[in-house]
This record gives sequence, structure tokens and C-alpha cells, in this order.
Amino acid sequence: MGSQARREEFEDQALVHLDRVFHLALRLTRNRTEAEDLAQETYLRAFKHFDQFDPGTNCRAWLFAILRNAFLNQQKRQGREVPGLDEGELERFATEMADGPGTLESPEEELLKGVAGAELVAALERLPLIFREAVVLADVEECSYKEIAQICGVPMGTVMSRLSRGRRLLRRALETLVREREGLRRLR
Amino acid sequence: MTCQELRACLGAHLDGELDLSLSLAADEHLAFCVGCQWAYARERELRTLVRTRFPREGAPAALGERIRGALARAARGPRIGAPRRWFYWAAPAAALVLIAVGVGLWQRSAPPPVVRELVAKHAMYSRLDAPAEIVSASQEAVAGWFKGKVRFDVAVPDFSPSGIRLVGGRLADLSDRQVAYLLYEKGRNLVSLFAFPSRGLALPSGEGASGGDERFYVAKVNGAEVVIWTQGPLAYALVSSLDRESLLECADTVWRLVGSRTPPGA
Repeated sequence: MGSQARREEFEDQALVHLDRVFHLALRLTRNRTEAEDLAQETYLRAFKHFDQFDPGTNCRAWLFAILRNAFLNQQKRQGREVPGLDEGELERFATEMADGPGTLESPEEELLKGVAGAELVAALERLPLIFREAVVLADVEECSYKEIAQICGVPMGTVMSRLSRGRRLLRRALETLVREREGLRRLR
Repeated sequence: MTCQELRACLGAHLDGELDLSLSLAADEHLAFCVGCQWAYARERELRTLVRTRFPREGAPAALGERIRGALARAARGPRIGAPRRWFYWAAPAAALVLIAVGVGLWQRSAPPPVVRELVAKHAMYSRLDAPAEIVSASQEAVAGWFKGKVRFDVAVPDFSPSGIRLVGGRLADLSDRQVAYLLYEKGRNLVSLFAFPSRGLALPSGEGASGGDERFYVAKVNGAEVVIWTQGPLAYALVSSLDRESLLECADTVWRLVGSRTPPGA
């Protein structure tokens, strides 16, 4: 394949997923500028290794896996948060989040009805990376467990447990946010 | 299936990810256990909430074009088109000494990839409202923020005598290496100062500059003035839409600051 034809083929297959790639980058980096840089880096890497892509398979999941790797490498280079499974630390985190004031007085339905999109984003951003990515991939990007396992390079069982804990943590983070909002409203 | 077992696979059941026999067992348990029915409804509600209400932001319109441009450059590779000259000229500095002034000027007509990349970064960050990761007008605070984040010492110069004030700093990348990026501003103009390890990079030099300062490479790329030089193990680049004289003045300030910090013979 000529170099121009190869690039056109790549753009046809991969660039249609740009919105999703950017969105995942945004949820991982939590920063728009970094997300744009990461999306570009992802496409450049993917293009370089385009011959390794099997045309019959899911291109979006392939791009997500490349994106995740690029992001982790970047984090390591910059000495930032890397999702090592420090169970102790994660447990502390989970306990901390659970240790807030008791369950809201308002019933569950009421609580969730009032939640705005921005609060969902804010709650998600409080989650450690491994849970954040599991929730985003499953519930926002609607990937299957098998795809998530491939993207994150972990067994299906791990996907299941990370997702289950991730959703629990998300709920607690949401509750905390709503409680903060309610508290502020009462002060006014 | 016990309640405990069901709770462990509640999410997977909801996602339709359980195999048939487990899924049937889960349904059977749910049919008579009120507590688990409640937990299941709660789980479903959260999942629906995220699926329906989570804002799925699309990519900014300019990003697609930016990526297409980067892909086109990558596809051309270092062998075809403008960047080629630089890969050949990136030969040892000794070879450059032999190159006549005229050739130096010709090279200048096509800025090397590194220069274009830095200008692109500057242009991108100047469009943002809050481009800095650390926002501070304190030289010490900004220098301190970089400690442990980059593997070199970051000198934060003071341009305030020229009316250019420090905004802050951030991390950036350039050809896969770490860049300390300092942001300054004069009025509404962003002044970018990049510092990064120079080793292995094809950098332009100021040699042969006609009537200019041989320490610095200067160029105008896409409307922005660029000043680049190497000092010790690091390369520095200033990019701004300010005039060339002001930028050279800043370059001289950085040069003197870095010179005063480098131990003799290092």
C-alpha cells in the first residue's frame, strides 16, 4: 500500500472514533489540553502500528488500548499517579469515602433525580484511576467486559470486581457531592 | 445462589455479562428475595443515570484537523519534504561550521520540525484561558513545582523589567521528552519559554546569523517569533507574538541567569 493510501485507509477506519477517543482521554487526564495532546499521541502511535490492527476487529477498542498505554507511559514519565494495585491504599480510600455522614434522609430516587451531568463528572473524577476507567468504559462508552479486559490488559474477573467497586465508589462520591450541595443551599 | 453470591455479580447480571446458568440462578434468587430486588433496582438506577445523563463531550473541531496534519507529517516521514534538510543537517556541529552563511539563510526558510512543534504548542496554549498547571507569579514557587517532575533544574527568569510577568508553569512533551514550560504574559500576549534536554534533538543554531547574535537561532513561524539556543545540557526556546527585539532581550536574560547557575567547567 502506498503511503498516501495507507494514511487514507487509517483515517477512514480510525478518525471516525475521534470523539470517543477524545472523551476517554478527557476522563483519564481530567484536563482538556492534556486530553487533546493525548488524543493526538494516540492517533500517531496507532498509525505507526496500523499494520498490527486486524481489520475485522473492533477499531475503537484498539484505539482505547493504545490511548490507555500512552497515558500510563506519560504518567510514569512525569512521576504522577500510576494505577499500581496498592490494595491498602485503595481500601483506605474506600473507607474514607464510606466514613462520611450517614445515608441521606431523602429516598434514593429523590437523590438521583437531582443529580446533574456536571456532578456525575465531578464524582467520577474523585475515583482512583483503575475504578474511573472501568466505570467510564462500561457505563459511558458502553464497552463489553471482554473489550474492557482487552483494553486494560486484565482478566474478566478483575474487570467485574473493579467495576463493581467503581460503581459503589461513584455512588458514595455522588452522595457526598449532593450532601455538599444541600449543605450550601441551607446556608444561603 | 445466596444473597452474598448474587450481590457479587449484581452488576454483571445487569450488564448481561453472566453466562446463561448463572444468569438463570440470579433471576431465580431475585424472584423471591426482596432485599436483593431492592439492591438490584438501586444498581440499575445508577447505571441508567450514568448512561443517560453523563455528558459525552465530543472532540473540539480543530483537533481533527490537527491530527490529520500530524498524520500527514508522520506519513511523509523524515525522508520526504521540508524536514528532510534538517535530518541531514543535524550532523555534528563541526560540519555546520563549514556551512556558508548563504546555506544558513536557506535553512532558515524551512524551520525544523522541533521549531514548528514548539510554535504549535505556543499557539495552542495561547488560546486557552488557564493554560498553566501551577499558577503563580513567584519564581521560587514555580521553580519548586518542577522539582521531582522533570529530571533537570528549571531556571525561572524574571522578565518584569521589560513589563513581562510570570503566569506559571506546566509540563509538556516534545518528541517524547519532558519539557518544562514557563508561561509569561505582556498585556494579552503570551510569552512561552520552553526548557528541555537537547541531547539527540536536531536543533537549529544561531551560527551564520547575518548581523545578529550568533548565540541564538531566530525565526518567524506562522506569525510568531522564535528564539532557540542550547546552553549546557539543555535547550531553551522562547516563542511569542511580541517583536523580535523584546524576545532577544528575554533570551539574553535567560542566558545570563543560566550562565550564572552553571558551575564553571560543567
